[in-house]
Amino acid sequence: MKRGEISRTQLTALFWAGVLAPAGELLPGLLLPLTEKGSWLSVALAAPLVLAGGWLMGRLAGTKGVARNLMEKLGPIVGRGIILLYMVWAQVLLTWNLRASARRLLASGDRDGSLWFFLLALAGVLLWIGRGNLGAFARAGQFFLAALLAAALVVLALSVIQARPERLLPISWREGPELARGALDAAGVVGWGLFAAFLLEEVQDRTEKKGWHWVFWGLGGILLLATAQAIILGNLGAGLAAKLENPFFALAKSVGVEGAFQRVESIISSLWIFSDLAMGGVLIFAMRSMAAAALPQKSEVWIPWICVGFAAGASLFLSPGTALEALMSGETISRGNVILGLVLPGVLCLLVKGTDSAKGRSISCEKKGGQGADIGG
Amino acid sequence: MRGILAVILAGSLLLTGCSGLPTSREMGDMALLRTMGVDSASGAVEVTGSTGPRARGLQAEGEPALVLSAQGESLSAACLAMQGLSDNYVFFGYVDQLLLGEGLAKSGVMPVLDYFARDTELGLGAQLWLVKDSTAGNAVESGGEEGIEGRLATLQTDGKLGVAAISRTVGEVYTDLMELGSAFVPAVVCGEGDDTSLMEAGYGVLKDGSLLGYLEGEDARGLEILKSRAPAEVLTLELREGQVSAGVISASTVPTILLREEEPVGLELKCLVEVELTEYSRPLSKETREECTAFLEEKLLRRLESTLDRLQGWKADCVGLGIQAALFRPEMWNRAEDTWADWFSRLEPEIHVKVTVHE
Amino acid sequence: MSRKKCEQGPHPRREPRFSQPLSLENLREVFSDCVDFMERTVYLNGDKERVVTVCYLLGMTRNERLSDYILRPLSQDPALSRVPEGELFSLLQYGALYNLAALRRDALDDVVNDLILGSCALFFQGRTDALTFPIPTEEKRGVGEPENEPALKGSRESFVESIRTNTAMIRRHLKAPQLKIREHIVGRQSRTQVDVLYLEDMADPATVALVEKRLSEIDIDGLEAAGNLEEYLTDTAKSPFPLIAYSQRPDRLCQGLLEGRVALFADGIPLGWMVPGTIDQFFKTGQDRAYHWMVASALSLVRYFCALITLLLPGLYIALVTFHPEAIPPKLALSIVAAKQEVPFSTIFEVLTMLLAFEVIQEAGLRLPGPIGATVSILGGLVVGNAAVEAHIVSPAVLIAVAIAGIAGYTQPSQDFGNALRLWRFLLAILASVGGLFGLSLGCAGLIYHLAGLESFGVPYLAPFTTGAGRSRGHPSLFRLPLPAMKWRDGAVNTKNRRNQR
Repeated sequence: MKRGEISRTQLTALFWAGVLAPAGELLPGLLLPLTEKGSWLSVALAAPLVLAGGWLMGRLAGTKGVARNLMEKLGPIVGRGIILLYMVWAQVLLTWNLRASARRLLASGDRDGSLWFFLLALAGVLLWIGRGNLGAFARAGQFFLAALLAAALVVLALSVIQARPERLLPISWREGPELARGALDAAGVVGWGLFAAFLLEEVQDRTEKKGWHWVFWGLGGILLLATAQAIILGNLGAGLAAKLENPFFALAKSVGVEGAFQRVESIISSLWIFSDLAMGGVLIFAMRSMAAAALPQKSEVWIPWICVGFAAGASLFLSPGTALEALMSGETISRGNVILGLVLPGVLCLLVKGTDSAKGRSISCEKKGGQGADIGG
Repeated sequence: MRGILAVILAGSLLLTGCSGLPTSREMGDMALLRTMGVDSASGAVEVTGSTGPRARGLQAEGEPALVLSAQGESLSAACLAMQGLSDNYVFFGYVDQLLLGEGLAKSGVMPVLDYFARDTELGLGAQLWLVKDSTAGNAVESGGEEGIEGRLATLQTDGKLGVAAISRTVGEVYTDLMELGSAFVPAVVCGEGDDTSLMEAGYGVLKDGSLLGYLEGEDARGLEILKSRAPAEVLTLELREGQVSAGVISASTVPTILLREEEPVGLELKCLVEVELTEYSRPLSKETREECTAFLEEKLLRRLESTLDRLQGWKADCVGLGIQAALFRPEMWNRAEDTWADWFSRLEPEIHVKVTVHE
Repeated sequence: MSRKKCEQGPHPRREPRFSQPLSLENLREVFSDCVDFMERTVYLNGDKERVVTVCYLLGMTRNERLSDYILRPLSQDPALSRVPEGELFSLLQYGALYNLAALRRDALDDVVNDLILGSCALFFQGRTDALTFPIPTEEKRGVGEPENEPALKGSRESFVESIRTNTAMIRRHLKAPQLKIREHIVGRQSRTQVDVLYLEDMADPATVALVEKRLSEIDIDGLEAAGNLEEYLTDTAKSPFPLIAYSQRPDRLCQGLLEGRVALFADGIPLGWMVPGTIDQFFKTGQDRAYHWMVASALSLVRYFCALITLLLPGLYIALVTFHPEAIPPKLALSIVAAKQEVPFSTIFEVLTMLLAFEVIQEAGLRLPGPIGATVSILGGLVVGNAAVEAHIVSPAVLIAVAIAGIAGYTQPSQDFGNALRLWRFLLAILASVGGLFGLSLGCAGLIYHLAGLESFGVPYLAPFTTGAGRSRGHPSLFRLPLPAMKWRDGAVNTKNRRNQR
């Protein structure tokens, strides 16, 4: 991949375009049983965690990118091990993404199709994107985000008038622990975008305006998710929303303009493919970046084929009730993202800092020793 | 070149009739159900559907409504059975009116609402009605060749015909049942004699999914004011200076829970109602205006007391007065939420009505 | 398509073409079997000892100029018979003949080239060089109105086939001395002049260099059609979307030059091209800057909206009617059902057939001569469409949907872009037939990605709507700001001197 191909706006657009799909699938299911009315607040409270995760991954990226930096600072064995761990997790997320997307399409509109058709079609397009150019994908990602935001805002705007505040409040301080746990889960859902950090090396205007750009986009995205959650709750209530597989699309079913359009959930659901493609593309390009740093030369070319092929195959043949399927539950995914997006980067940053300090001390010791030798000599 | 060829070959596979593709259906081959009625029938579920007047040809008249009725052990089984009754594919995606028979309402509506929430074709946006003293099937069939969609749409949208002012969707009722434990649903009754069209019959009150009773007449109007909606009615007053008619144009109710030692003891309701004089012989004098105001306030107060009394008797806060009052009192609500129905029934009501008259 | 010269590979090139020494005999041999090759022997001022031969191609030269300013002084100037013979050549080269230019040539190739371009050549006995005087004919189509880009409020000039007339029109609009015009010869047999125009202190030098490099790499027999230039200059032939904008209007081209773009002309083709060509170029008209900015913005939004309509409407119709009817309002659904009664074909087949019929009628209308074409198009559309509906071959709803899509396509200012949309419209309709809204969305995602991957001379095709790495865009592209607010140029990535006004 060429250097300096994308801008930070494009990277954050890809991040949020990709996160919207798992957010719609996972947020209600994870938060509502735990926090009920307070789920919208949990999403908002996840902001510091998300920003912290982003900052840590940014620090890990340094100037060379996360993968290369890890290889350089931690050595080939430890570095490669960490990268392989991230690659395996990215593969799990890609598989989940494909499968969830196909199942959502089956459930919401194209009810007579079969899973393999949707899976293979999506996999085909993902492969095409994944084998291509990051700059082109980033530009497409901005369009994807624009379409997704337009669709989401139409649904939310038409739903907000029916929202009732008594379905959102009151929230007692006694619910603090649940809200905090909910915030962690919400951060785990937003953590789907952690692999966007592996593309930081391709961003050429990263450090302009002292990072306020990242804060703005981070807070903006969280605010949008929290608002969406609030509107969903305000319309459906915590009880009903928890019963539904995807309350956002259930909301889209009920909105419309009399005489103009109605029951737009099938249109919204099909537009959400853009989010699936954005997330899938980010994962594939991140794995390409990791492979370029950690795996033998020329393996990068094969990464899209292997990843998409494995994801499609695993999605097709994954049976309910198996251990592998249990691995891919919403809770496990969320916790995994928190560990790999927040905990592990924190540990790695400390390790890298320690390595840098040790190198710095050994260089200064050599200098002093040299000087002493000179003086002694 | 080889890549393009591979894509074309792969694409051709899709056209070989292999069964992975979504099935397309022609709209002309579909029976587009508009109204659905659900009843319980000796342990089974009976579903009656009506298409309303159907499109025929470009220049031709519409065909009469198609009414289908099927039974099954469950709602989904009954819907599936209905497919076999028609030459066309029965499509439920246009169902925007759901009627529940009284029998089913008494046994529990939650399974039906849940089905509407989960089914891909049906949706939570359908308008919900209870059929009083009859079955939903009778109500659906009462529309004759024209179907009842038009009548229900009129009941739903045109409050000026002296009909129910608050229409409710399946989603709203289901949410209220989940959040408040109770809900109110507009009720209709089949006409008798020559006129079999549906008429409004106040509101049915559900608790834990089952029908408790009906609020009709003044009680129904009181419910509307409690819900901060203007009832569609014209009040006629006999004053010293003559007869005056007034229509209610807006209503708002603000509930407050009165506490003693952090425990709820009373429920204060402040109702602001605006009325507009529709018929009067001459501009009202100051005394007449005051008399009119006092009369209206007294009438509305009695109405609200009656409605609240019935709701308290049922232990059904279907309007959500408690949660509205507790919006910024999380601690109190935290303690009372789980047993609110009991609290609600014991609270001493304190109702203040203020009427503003416009000419 | 061959960008690189390949001396040893296929299509070897011979330079120079005519390697024989320069002489009248060799020139006669080159132009043997050319009935328009003329020779005229003239005695200088009647002196039989001093003979020159004037050669020219009949039809390429301007006869009166040849007669009055070349032959007359040759035969009547007394100085030509008095000066020593050694000075005669210089006297003729430097003023005895009344012409704007006089070139001394000593290679046969150059003389042949000059003759073809409309010069006459003077041969002296005993000399191995010759003089050529450019006197090209000025027979050309007059400057008329642009047929494909009508102007309601602005200049009504249109480019013509003569390249020099075209560059002169640009000079008249842009009197800046910084306007550079560099010439290339493209086509071995056609030897077509291709001019590259740019404003020196605005255009990106890298873009200019890239254009000239690609021009020099074009090694074809002849440049006779616009595609001979476009397909060889652009980055990819795999996309139907045009990557170079063109215009018939000098004012539009000047606007492009002022944005820092590089313009091209080809002799014989009445168009001017502008590079780089980003997607917003194909939505702009020459009228955009003539109307009030609110009106221009509204019209611009209408064009973008119509592009979406023409692309998506047939596919959306198929997807909604056959796979997702619940999204259609009930009354409209009943209308569609009523319209579909007794039609024997499926909706998918109807839509695809009507799309094809629309293209057939349009293509037929293009082939027929003007008066007949218009009549047949109207009759074909009305009679065929009406008869088809009456006979229940096709439903009126499908006809309306396809007609709206077709008419929306005609709002596109660029014919090339509209053609690409038509192709993709078919593809999206087929995808919608296979997979409903899912197929349509996947197709749209593919289209977006495809457009995102296109580049025109280093500038991404979607650059007007995406944040590029590096420079921010000058002004929005969906709509037009008031001109005083449009202070920055939007041309190539590194347009020099980005500010265009105080």
